[in-house]
Amino acid sequence: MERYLGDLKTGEWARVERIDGGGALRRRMMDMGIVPGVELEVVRHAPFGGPLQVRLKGYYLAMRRGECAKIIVTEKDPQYTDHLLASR
Amino acid sequence: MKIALIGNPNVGKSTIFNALTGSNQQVGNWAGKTVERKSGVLQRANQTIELIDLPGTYSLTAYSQEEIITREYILRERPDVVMAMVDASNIERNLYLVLQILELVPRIVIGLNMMDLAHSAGISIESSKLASALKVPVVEIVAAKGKGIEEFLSEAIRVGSMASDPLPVEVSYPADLEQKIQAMELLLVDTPWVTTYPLRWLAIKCLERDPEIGQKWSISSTKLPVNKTVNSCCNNGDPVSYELQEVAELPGESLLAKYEEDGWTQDHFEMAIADAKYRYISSILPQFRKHENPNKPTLTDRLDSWILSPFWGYPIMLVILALVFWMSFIASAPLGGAVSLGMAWVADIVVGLLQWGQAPEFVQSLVRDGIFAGVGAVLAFVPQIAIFFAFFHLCRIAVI
Ligand SMILES: Nc1nc2c(ncn2[C@@H]2O[C@H](COP(=O)(O)OP(=O)(O)O)[C@@H](O)[C@H]2O)c(=O)[nH]1
Ligand SMILES: [Mg+2]
Repeated sequence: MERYLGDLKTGEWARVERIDGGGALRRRMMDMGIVPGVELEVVRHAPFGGPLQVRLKGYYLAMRRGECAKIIVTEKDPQYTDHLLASR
Repeated sequence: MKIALIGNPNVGKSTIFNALTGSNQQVGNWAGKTVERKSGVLQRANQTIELIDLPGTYSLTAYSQEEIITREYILRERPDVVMAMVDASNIERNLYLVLQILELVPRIVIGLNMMDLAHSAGISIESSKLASALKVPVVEIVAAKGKGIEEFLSEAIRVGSMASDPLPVEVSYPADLEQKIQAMELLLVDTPWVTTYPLRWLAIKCLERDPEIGQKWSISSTKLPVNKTVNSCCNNGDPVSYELQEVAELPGESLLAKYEEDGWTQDHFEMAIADAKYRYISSILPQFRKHENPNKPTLTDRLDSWILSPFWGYPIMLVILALVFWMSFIASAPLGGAVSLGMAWVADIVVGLLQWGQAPEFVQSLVRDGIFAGVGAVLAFVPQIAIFFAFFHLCRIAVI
């Protein structure tokens, strides 16, 4: 089932399927490690529609809701075990 | 010798830069940009070294000011060796930048910083294994404590003065992408561009339709004399600026058009290349990184779960603000009173001395009402301000 990253609940894991749109924002996301196949967790939502904090590849990243709406995710792979907690 | 410090934001570049250059720094701006340009001169083993502190960046593409400055510096000013700073506690994302630098310049040394943070997060990195995985020298450092900085520099000088370029690893791309890179390489191999850029990097950038490719630049340098410490407030800045000489057409347009028909658009190439680099990092990671108890929350995690909780966050914030307010305005009041009393007491003694010395009345008045009463009124605020700034500073470093 495909969903937007912004629709995930706190504590949910998902796998990045693709990033819609192009240009600088997409490039920046790729440079931060958000590439198809990567698994990430929504750690918390800021109140009043503020940014959300995600965890991937052992680090934290904060993203605006609007940016998350461009990231399409699916259920995580049950085989995938590399769920590191962030150290930064 | 020209050495450049490169790395993600907040990896400790400026800490190293300041430790190495001390007060011998030139601060200006990058031509036409609002980003600070910091360079410094140092002397090691009869060599004059120009060290430059580049702005922090995650990538070497052309999308933000910091990225553009960093890659323009490497491409146009050509440092002899790059000191690549890596955050050991966040090594995957940091190595992504290192791989990009490696495609562009073979002479690099990795400084593995934040070893203390990595250690407390249960991460151990074997720097010798990392070095052999990338075929690049690696020096462990804790910049904040001054550990390993000289070793990092001397390793950089050694690599910078090598007679021939070292051969670091090449990222292995998936077969379909690799074949397209090689087809592009074939078209470029006989052009004069390969004398200025590494062939593989040039081919990849052509596939990504990077605007830099094909441009010829000249550098006009209005350099201030070296060794002169310039006051940052009054510096005229912009010591170096670039001028576009010509834009050349590169071969490969028809090849790119053919790929685009097959769905390999610019976006597709960018994604595939970024993806391949991250996959490559994941594949070599187990060789040098061990993560003990990866599911054990760190101190920051545990604090965050309270301070950033949707429920407890607000009361905790109010309590902290109330505490700062109380300490600065109410708890500091007796201290301010004590300062006033102390000033009045000293004023009495000084005026007593003046009377004893039969100083004229206007001098006594000046000292009593002007100097002591005036300055005392200001000094009475010092405890309040000091306490407030102490908290302010605490909040600032807590953020980092
Ligand atoms: N724990 C720890 N902190 C460090 C280390 N090196 C630098 N820092 C801190 O990291 C922060 C960012 O450093 P800075 O040099 O400004 O990074 P830059 O953005 O790369 O120039 C500063 O607060 C430094 O004190 C280190 O080895 N360990
Ligand atoms: Mg800095």
